Amino acid sequence: MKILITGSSGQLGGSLCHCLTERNEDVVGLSRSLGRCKDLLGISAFRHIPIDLDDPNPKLGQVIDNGPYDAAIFLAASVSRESDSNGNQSGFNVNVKGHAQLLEALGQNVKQVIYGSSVTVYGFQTQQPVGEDCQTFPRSDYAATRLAGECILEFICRKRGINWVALRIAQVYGPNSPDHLVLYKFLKHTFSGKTPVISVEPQTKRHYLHLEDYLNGMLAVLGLSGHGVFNLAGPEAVSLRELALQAMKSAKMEGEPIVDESQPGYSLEYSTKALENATGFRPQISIKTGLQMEAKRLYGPHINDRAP
Amino acid sequence: MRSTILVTGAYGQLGRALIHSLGKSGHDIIGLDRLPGDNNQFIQCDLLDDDLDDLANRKWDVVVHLAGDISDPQLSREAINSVLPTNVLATIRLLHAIRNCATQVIFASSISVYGNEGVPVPYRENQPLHPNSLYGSSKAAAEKYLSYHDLFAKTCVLRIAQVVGPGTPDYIAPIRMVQAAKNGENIPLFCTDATVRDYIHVDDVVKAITSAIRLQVSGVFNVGSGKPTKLAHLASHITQLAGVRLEQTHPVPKVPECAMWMSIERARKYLFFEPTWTIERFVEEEIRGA
Repeated sequence: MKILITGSSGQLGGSLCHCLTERNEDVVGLSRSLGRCKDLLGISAFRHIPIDLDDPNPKLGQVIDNGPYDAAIFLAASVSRESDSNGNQSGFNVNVKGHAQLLEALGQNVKQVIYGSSVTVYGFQTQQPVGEDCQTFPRSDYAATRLAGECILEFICRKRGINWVALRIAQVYGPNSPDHLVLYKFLKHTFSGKTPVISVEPQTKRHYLHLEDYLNGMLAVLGLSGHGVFNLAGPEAVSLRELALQAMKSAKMEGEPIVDESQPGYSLEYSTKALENATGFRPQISIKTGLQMEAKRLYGPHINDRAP
Repeated sequence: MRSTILVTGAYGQLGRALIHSLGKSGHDIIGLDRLPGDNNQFIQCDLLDDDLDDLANRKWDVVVHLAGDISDPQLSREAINSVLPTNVLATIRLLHAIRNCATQVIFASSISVYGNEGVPVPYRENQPLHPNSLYGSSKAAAEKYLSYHDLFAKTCVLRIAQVVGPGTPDYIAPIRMVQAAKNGENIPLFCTDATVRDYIHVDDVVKAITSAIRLQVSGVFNVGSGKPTKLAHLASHITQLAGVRLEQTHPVPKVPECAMWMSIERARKYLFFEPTWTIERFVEEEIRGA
């Protein structure tokens, strides 16, 4: 298969480029800089095209010349800059217009589009777990432009008869994840001998997705025909208390986490049933296993292997 | 209560009619448009290119966002580069500017967000959106972005049917048919019985907007005639009024043969909205006034 991936320099795009080149697929990565794909240079199955989708008129000729593509996977995203005095222009440019221009330029030279959207489009929900047909309540410029992008790109795909998948991806953890995630804060605390602190109501749930499950979810939708919107999240959501206790267990720390209920919390739990029904894919890495993997990866020397 | 109301797209068809109507109500109305204005109750500003700090440094009771590109071009690179910025980015920039200083935002969306192929009629506000044009998808995208603004203000989306009245472009079917009849020409029948549309008079749209302001509502509302109009019936109605004949055109109908019309039960219930015009009355007045 020949696959185009935007945002190839980032965590999600970069890891997917690695995964697909290892599987001997032809990969064309699109991003401003090489980023996480530096080590793929020289591998014949991989080609990088430097393009900034924030550019008002990106030069797309080289992308078209390298086609046609079996799939285009859109993972380039502009992270919110809410402080911009005139709105987050690059959020619109990248998440909406840049990809629309790219898709338009590709014409019939692509069979499928997979759009990396985000579960943040749902915002707060009273009903959990959240299914794809729930009304969306984006709470950030990022989420709102992702949602706007879904609208425009789905339309272009429908008009052109291109297969379409919007994947609403949960917070990914695993190698190269941002260390501000509460899961990493807990691990950092416990492995430096400090009791983790939960600053919201401790039964508040978080729903993560391990990088490996993310990659397998992507592979599952690759080549899917028709149009669909699917959540992609881990096997289960986890309460912050449970997450803190697991982090303590990894570091062989006894007791209970400190609870400082200064902020109200809201639970996030997403249903992945629709994805399973369409593809048979089920996420495999429980948060317990995933946290152990991360503890071992980050603090390996301090941790003994446990029997499963 | 005297309110300060910003109206974007002040020189458009809806903007002119709305400002005219609100002007009689004793509110402070500020119009905004790209084109230069003729009084001091006006801001000349391009929502895409200009600095919007002036909008952010005021207090708005209501912002009515009507500015947008209403042309409905075929999908192309040029269309993407014009329609998406005008209908989506300008909305994002406006909302960002007024984030902390507007109490209610009313957004003029369109019946086109529903799409038409295989979509059940009448359209209802809670059904999924499958826009079938770049224009429709740009309005749907702007609506989605507006849902984020719920955190900062009451937001109200009005999905408006095809507007008729002063300022409606000539290419809209009833106007085209009226023009032909007025010239004593036979009316080309370019559609079948299955072609159903939804027309609303600009005065009725203005009524819906002023209700939304007065009642300070938020939510999504269809604003249309509340009934299906068969284009073929309208055409024969016009021939009778004008004493001309229908002329079967061939080969193919120029408009999609689908039914497009909206339920207005929500607007009836929450905006006490009831259209006062019908498309039949509109074409009658147009022809008699010839």
